[in-house]
Amino acid sequence: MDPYLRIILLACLLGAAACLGACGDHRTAGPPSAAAPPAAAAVLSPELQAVYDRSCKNCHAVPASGAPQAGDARAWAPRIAQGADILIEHTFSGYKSMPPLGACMDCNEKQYRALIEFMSGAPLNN
Amino acid sequence: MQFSRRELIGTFGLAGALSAFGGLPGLLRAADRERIVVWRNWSGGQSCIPADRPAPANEEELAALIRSSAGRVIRPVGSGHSFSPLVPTEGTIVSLAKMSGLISHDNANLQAEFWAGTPVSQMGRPLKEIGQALPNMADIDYQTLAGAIATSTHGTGAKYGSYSSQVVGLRLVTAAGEILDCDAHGHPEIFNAARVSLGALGIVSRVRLQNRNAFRLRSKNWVQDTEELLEDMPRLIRENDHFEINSLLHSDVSVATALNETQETKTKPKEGGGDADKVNMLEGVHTRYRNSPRIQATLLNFIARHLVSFPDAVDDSYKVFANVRDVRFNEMEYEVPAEAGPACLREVLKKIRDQNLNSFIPTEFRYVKGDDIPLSMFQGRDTCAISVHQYYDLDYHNFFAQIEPIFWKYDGRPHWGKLHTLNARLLAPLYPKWKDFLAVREALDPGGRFLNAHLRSVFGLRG
Repeated sequence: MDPYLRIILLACLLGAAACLGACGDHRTAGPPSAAAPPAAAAVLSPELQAVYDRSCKNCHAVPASGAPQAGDARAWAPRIAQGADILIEHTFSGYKSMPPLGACMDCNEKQYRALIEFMSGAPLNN
Repeated sequence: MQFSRRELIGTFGLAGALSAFGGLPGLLRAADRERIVVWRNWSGGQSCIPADRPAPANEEELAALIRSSAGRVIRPVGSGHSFSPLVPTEGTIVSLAKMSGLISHDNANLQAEFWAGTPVSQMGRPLKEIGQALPNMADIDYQTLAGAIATSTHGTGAKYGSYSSQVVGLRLVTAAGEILDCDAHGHPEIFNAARVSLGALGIVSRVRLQNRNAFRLRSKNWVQDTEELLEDMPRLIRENDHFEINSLLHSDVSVATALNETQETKTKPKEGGGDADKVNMLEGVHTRYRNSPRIQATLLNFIARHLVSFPDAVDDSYKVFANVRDVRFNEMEYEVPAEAGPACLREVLKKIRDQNLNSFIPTEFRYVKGDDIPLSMFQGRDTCAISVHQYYDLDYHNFFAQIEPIFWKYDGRPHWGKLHTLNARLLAPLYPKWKDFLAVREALDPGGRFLNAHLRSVFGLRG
């Protein structure tokens, strides 16, 4: 083997873990904690429950998606801490893996707020 | 309790109102102000501020909406997964989100009718419960059924057509607010055109599909030299029900995926999660070593062959076809004659490597059976579909601009839901039945209610 390539491969092997780590998952949130405490119970109107079922649930009820899971207060806490304005902006414009409008083509701001509060179990404050 | 701004000032005076409600943010909250919602597609590359975004609950509401909004452009939206500007309008964006689910089925003929707003991701389970399955599916299932057939969305498999080719009937709500049932016997010209319509003929409200009996699939993935795979392509597509390759840019290797029907009953679920980790790794190597192409290629070849796992899976077909794509991107795809596919991909990959183009998401290379639908990208010829992608946060224009002419050289037709730069003058010669479609469109919507600026350019129609 070309000595040059040998050096590169060795560097690759030694650095692979670091490379993978550094590349890391900086676009998606980490997987939710298995022992995450349940968020405060909230109830959605039948209309919003339907929105949740057809849009939010595809990621926020699928742990492998990397999205903060509905009811996982621990995963939502740092998001809620950013404030409603940032969360709503991320919802409207999309953020990392989160698609714009949360894949709901007809929702309004009030509905998005209610859905976030439902999933996070926390009130949204401005 | 809600107060208008005028009421608050009148009652407390401005200072009092600000104080009582916690300053200006509190006042805005009390006045129940809402921000303007900018509509954006999945990648964020397309946007608009529509006048309204209704979601009718049934066909009567949909027809009434169309009749009552005369003079305003109406564009239907599914899941917003088209990369091309099919949706943006300053008029009305109509969502069929509330018209979703299985309507009826015919076990004798293995057909099923769905509301057009049904996400493809929500079709597999109800179909399995009635013993049916879609014969083929795309590698993502975020699209709605209406969006998928409007753009001739497809999976891979030389013996399988697009979703549109499986449509045996549909209901169309026209610009006049009429509800038309269309199939091979009723309004056959409209039916054939509406199977791939870009949403330009009216709004499809329900779709009847020709399915097959429910089945299971085995997925096998492996990494191999790209040139070896292309050399072996005739055998690979002949011997596998569904076959595709994803070529790692700036490298010598591809990930091959073969899906075949199996009688195995023991389920081996697909690996959980999306593709973010793998794409992040590609991005990391590209970012660090882009200026050292030889090192980059060596690293990518080695990592793909030895450090990344691609486990097999066995499961119900609909669980194996679809993947989670949790890295957003923009995409350009062209459909070239099947026999030209390998040469075209070679040229695309060579261009990316020779020019050291700034992209790291793999190309996708698939096969689709030809059909007889006027505006289908697969009309009249078996096809090879080649896709290039750009991470959503990177500019795609320069990258795609250097690749698109290669597709033209191979007589490619652009995927309707993906980015391209062709207008009517360049598109018309690619479609032998182009005028047939335009005639149907003109008859159904002479006022252009369903045309936005993009579609006017595509069809060569003035506003």
